[in-house]
Amino acid sequence: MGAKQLTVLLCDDSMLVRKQLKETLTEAGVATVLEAGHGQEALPLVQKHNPQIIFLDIVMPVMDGIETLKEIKKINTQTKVIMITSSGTQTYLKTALEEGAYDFIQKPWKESQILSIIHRLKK
Amino acid sequence: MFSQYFGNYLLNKKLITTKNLKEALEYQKSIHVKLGILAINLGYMNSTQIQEVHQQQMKIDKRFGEIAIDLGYLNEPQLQNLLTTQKQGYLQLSQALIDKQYLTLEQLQNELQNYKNDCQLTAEQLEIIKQGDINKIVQLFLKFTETPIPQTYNDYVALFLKNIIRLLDLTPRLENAFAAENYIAPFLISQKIQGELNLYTALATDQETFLTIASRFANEQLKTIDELAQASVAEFFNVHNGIFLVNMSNQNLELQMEPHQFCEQAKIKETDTYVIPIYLLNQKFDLLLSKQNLLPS
Repeated sequence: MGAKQLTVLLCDDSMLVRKQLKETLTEAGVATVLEAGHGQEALPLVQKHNPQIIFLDIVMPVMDGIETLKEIKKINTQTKVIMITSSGTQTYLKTALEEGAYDFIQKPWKESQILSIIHRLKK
Repeated sequence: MFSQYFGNYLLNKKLITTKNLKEALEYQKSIHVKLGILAINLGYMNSTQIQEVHQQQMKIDKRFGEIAIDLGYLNEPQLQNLLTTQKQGYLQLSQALIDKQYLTLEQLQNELQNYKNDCQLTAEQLEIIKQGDINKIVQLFLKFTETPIPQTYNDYVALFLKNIIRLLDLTPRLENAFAAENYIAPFLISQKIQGELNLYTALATDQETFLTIASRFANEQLKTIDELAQASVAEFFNVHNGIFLVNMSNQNLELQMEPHQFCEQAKIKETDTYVIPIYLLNQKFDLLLSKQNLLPS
């Protein structure tokens, strides 16, 4: 599957993070990038569009990243969820991986980390 | 760090302009300090002697140190000390101001001495600033006497200063903290940290500085405090707090944080709130720390 066929969902309450991540993904050739500001906005998008990859923050209003991850996994166990968060504590890391996160990126993130994941997952 | 304090001193004395200082601070990143400036700073030579050595350098193919020794202005141990000190960076601003001709050698000599006399710091304290050890600088300026966790507060502030350098590519200058009294923040980003300890944190500033921080972190010029600018400052603060949480986690202290809040004209609760002023060249913002909610309910 090439990057153009990927659907990626960005779930972060920061408009800046979503903007910068979207720019990186678009430059990498990802044609469909969806956005959500918290878990409750993300779940309908997951249901409707079935993204292959989700970049998911942890600390968000309304529904945080861990709760969102659990709900995503109920909808689609195959979706690769990458936690991208400033709160990379041992507790969050452990919980996220136990709940099925594919990877964990500590902010501030590097473009190379995002591109590496896209490159890995598009194969 | 020394550059920020000495530079501000020169600015307050109106010996240089803000534009001079800004250009010199930028220029200093690309240079190393010449031995003449170091010799003045350590009191080994005066400006007249430095100029004489420079004139000799134009006539004969010898290094500064060799000529200074030949003329009897330096001895060998002094030269070795200068060469060692050259590796430390704290006089780079002085070198930059000379290179840019914003100050003469004689003015620099006088003002370095004046600063040592006027700054009301002991020799030991001044040495701490020269070394640029942020953890020690925080302890020098901040005395958290009203909290049971002063070391945690020190660590938090030191990390914040390091993150300003790392994430914003700016060099901050710290001044003494004070208690919040009739404090109103024009623009405020706050975030609560909780768990095994509670810490209410906030960044408070005016419009211009808010946009400086926002633009730096977003890596694009932002001209109004719109949603993107708010998101940028909030995310900077969020990333900083997250790194603090990770550091605490590595010390087996598990904490969580809540989503940030943005407020305008926020009146801060006076009880138990430390206001830590942080200067960026000619701009200022405050870091607020409290064990209770900073904002009225």
